[in-house]
Amino acid sequence: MYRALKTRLGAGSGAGGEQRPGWRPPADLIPVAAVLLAFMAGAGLIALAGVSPLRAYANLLLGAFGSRNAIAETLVKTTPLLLAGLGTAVAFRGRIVNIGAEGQILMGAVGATYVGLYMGQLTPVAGILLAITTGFVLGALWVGIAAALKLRFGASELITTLMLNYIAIELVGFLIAGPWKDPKAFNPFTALIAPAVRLPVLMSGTRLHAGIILALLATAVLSYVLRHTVYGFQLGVVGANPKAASYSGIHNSRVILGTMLLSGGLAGLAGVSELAGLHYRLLGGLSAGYGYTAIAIALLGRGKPFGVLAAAFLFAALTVGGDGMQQSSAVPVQVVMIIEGLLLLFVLGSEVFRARRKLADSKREGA
Amino acid sequence: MTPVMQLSGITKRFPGVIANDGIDFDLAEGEIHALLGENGAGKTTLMDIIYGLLRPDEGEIRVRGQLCHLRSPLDALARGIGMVHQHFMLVSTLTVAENIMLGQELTRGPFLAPREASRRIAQVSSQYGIDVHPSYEVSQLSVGEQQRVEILRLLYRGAEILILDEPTAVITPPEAESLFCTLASMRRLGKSVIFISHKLKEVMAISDRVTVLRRGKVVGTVRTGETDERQLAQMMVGRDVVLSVARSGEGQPPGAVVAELRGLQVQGDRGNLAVKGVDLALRAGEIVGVAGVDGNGQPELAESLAGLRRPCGGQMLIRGEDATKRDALQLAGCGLRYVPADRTARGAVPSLSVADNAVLKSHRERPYSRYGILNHPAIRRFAQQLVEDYDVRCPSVEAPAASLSGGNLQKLILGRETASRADILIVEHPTRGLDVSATEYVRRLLLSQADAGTAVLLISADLEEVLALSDRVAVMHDGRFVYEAPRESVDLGTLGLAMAGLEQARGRDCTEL
Repeated sequence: MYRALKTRLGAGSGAGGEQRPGWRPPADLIPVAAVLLAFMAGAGLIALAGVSPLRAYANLLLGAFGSRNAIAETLVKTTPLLLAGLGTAVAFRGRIVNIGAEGQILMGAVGATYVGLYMGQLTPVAGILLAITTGFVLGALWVGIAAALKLRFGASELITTLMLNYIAIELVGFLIAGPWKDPKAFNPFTALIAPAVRLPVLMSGTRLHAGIILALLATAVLSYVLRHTVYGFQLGVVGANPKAASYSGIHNSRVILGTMLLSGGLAGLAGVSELAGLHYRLLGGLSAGYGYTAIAIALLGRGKPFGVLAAAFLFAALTVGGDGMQQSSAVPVQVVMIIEGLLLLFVLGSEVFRARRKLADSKREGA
Repeated sequence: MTPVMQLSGITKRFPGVIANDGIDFDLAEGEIHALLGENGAGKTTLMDIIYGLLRPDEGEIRVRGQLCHLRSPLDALARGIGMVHQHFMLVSTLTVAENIMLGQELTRGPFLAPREASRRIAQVSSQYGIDVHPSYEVSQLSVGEQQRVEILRLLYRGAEILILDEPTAVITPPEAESLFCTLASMRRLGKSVIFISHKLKEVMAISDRVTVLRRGKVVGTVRTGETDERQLAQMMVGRDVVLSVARSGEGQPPGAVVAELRGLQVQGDRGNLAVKGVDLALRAGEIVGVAGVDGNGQPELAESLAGLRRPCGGQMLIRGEDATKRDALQLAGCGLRYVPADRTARGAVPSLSVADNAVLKSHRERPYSRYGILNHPAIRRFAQQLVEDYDVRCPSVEAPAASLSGGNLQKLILGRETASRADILIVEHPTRGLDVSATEYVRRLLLSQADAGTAVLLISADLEEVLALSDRVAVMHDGRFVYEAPRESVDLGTLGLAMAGLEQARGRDCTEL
C-alpha cells in the first residue's frame, strides 16, 4: 500500500485522475510531476518570506515572459546554458564527467576573440564561421588535455577538467591585462572585435542574437547524431557497458576521445556565442558560472539533447524571471537559487520511481 | 508436528502477470526442501515474500504456527529466516569476522570486541564444518568462500530457516561438494533449508522433499526418495524432456584445421601467467570441449582467442595465417564468433534494446548502417527475424535486453553470433544458469552449428555437458591442457584425476597466502 501510494505520488500528481487497476500515467510524466512538486515546495518557502506565492510566481512569469524584452533576455540566457549543457550531457552519455565546461567556454571565447581582433578583414559570413570553428577547436583542445591525461595515464577527468578551469580563468586574466589589453581603456579587457565577427541581433531593440540559432541547431544535430549514427550507437554502448563495447570490437578509447573533444567543442561554442553575440570583447567574468550550471542542466535533461534544451530554458527563465520577482514582490533573489536546487533534487529524486517502474516492468515481462 | 514454516494460498500479482498463484508450501524442522522451477516460474518472488522483501496480495505465512506479517528482511531475520542471495551482500574491504559481526557488533563498552567475536565465529563454524579464516579480507576470498561467509553470518545470527537462491550457480563443483556437506550438518542440527535450484541432479542429491513450481503455481510436492529426475523434469516443464542432448557417434569426419594455437601464453589480470603454453587445433565440423575447474586459465584462453587479450607468447593461426596480433574486430571479420561467459557484463548491454543488442557487432556493416548513419528499420527487421528464428521470448525488439530471462538473453546472443557465417565459434559456459528447456535449445544449436561445418570450442565447467557434446575433450589445469582424448576413448578415472589434481594445487595456493 505504502509503495503503491508513493508510486502514485511520484508519477501521477500532475495527472491525477482515476486509479483503474492496470492504468498508469506515462513514464514521461514523472519528471514533469517532479518539476511541479519542486515549484510547490518553493511556494512554501516564498510564503515563509511573507509573500503570496501566487503573486511571486506571477511576477516570475512576467519577468521571464512578460514583454518582448523579457522573452529576448530569457533566450539570451538560454543560449550559453544550452550549448554548455549539451557538451556536458554528451560526455555523461559515455560516463565521462566533464565538469570543465567553464574553462572550455572561456577558451572558446578566447578563440573567437583572436579571430575578431586579428582577422577582422573577413566578410561577415566567413568571419563568423571562422570564429565558430576556432572557438570549437580551442574548447575541444582544452578538454583534449584532460582526455590525453585520462587515456594515457588514467588520470580522472573529474579532477583534470576542474583544474583546467582555473588555468583558463587565469589565462583569460593574463590576456586581458597583458598582451590583448585594449590600449585605450583603463579596465582590463580587450578592444571590441571586428563587426564582421559579431553575431547579428535577431530582434531589434533587444540583445537577442543569432547564438540561439546556433544552440538550437546544435541540439537538433546532436540529437540526430546520438540516435542515428554509428558513433552515437557506439557511445551508448561504451557508456552503458565498456566491456561489451570492446567485446563488440568498439575501440573504447577512440570513442571516449572523440566524445570528450565534442563535449569541449560544444562548450567552446557557448563561449563564442557569448563573446561574438553579447559582449563583443573578452573580459573577466564572461561566463558567469555557466559551465557549472551546465552540469545541473545536463543532469536535469537526463543527457538527452531536447531534455537539455528544456532544462536550459527553465533555468534561464528562472534566472531572468527571478530578477523581476525580486523587484516587484520583494522576494530575495536567493529564493530562485533555492528553487533551482529544489528542481535538481526533485527531478533526480524522481529517478527512483522511474527505476522502480522499470524493475516492475522487467519483472512482469520476465515472469 | 507443526511445520517450522507454512505458507497457505500465497498470491502475488504484478501488473499483467500473476507471479504466485495460491501457493501452499510447508517446511519441516531439519528438512532440506528444494524449490524447483524454470526461470520465471515464481521461485524468486515466493522467496522474496518469505524474506519480507515483497508483501503477498493474499495468503498467510505462519512461522512455528504463528501468523506473521513480514514487512522487511529485518522482520524475517527476527523470526529466524535468513537468505543467501546469488549476489552476496558482503563488504569486500572488511574482514570475514567484521562482515559476520556487521549489524550485530559485539562490544565492550564503546569498543568492538573482535577477539570475542572471532571466538564465537570459530565456534559456529566448527559446529557446521564451515571452513573460513575470520581474519581474511573478503576481497581475497573465492566466490565459494564468500558464500560460506554468508551462510555463517546467518547461522551466527541464529537463523533457523535458510533460503539458498541457486547457491551452486556461481561456485565450482568441489565448492558445491563442501556446501552440500555443510547443508547436511545443518540438517543434523535441526535447521531447515529451502534450496532453490533448477539443477535436477543436485536436488536429487541433497533434498528431502521437492516442490515444483510452474507459471506461479505449485505443480506438486514429492518426497525425493520416491521420484526421479525424469519425473521432476516433466513436472517442471510440463512435457517430456530429452534430458541429454548428445553428439551422435556417426558424425562426419572432421574437416580441415581452421584455427591452430601453438604454445599460446596469456597473462591474467594480475600479471600472472594464466595460460602457460597451449597447443590446440580446431577443425571444421568438430566440437572440442575444454573441461576444468573455473579459474585455471579458461577465460584468458577464450579472451585471447577472441582478440580481447593479447597473447604474450606463442602463436595463433587462422587458416594458416598468423592472427596472433589481430583485434576483436579483425577476428570477427575472419568468421570468429564468441559467446562469453558473462551474458550481462560482456555479451550484451542490458540497458539497450533487444534490437540494439542484435547488431552490437554488425552495426557498422550494411544494411544496418551506411556512411556512418544507422538504418533503424533494417536493424529492427533483422532483430525481429532473429527473435523468431531463435525463439527469443521478449515483449518486443524495442524492450530493453534487461527484461529478458537468462535463457532468452543467451538465445539472443547465440543467434547474433551464429546468424551470419561462423567458421569458428567459441562458447564459454553456454548453459550456466539456464533452465532445462533453454539448456536443451542451446545444446542443440551448438550441435547443429558443428554439423554445418563450424569449428566449435566449448569451454564449460559442466563436465557432463563437455562429455555429451564434444568430439574431443581436454582438461585445463593451471594454464595447461593436462588431459586430451577423443570422446570415445575418454577414461573418466584419468579425467577425474586430472581435475582432482587441480584441487591439490589450489589447496597449496591457499596455504601460501
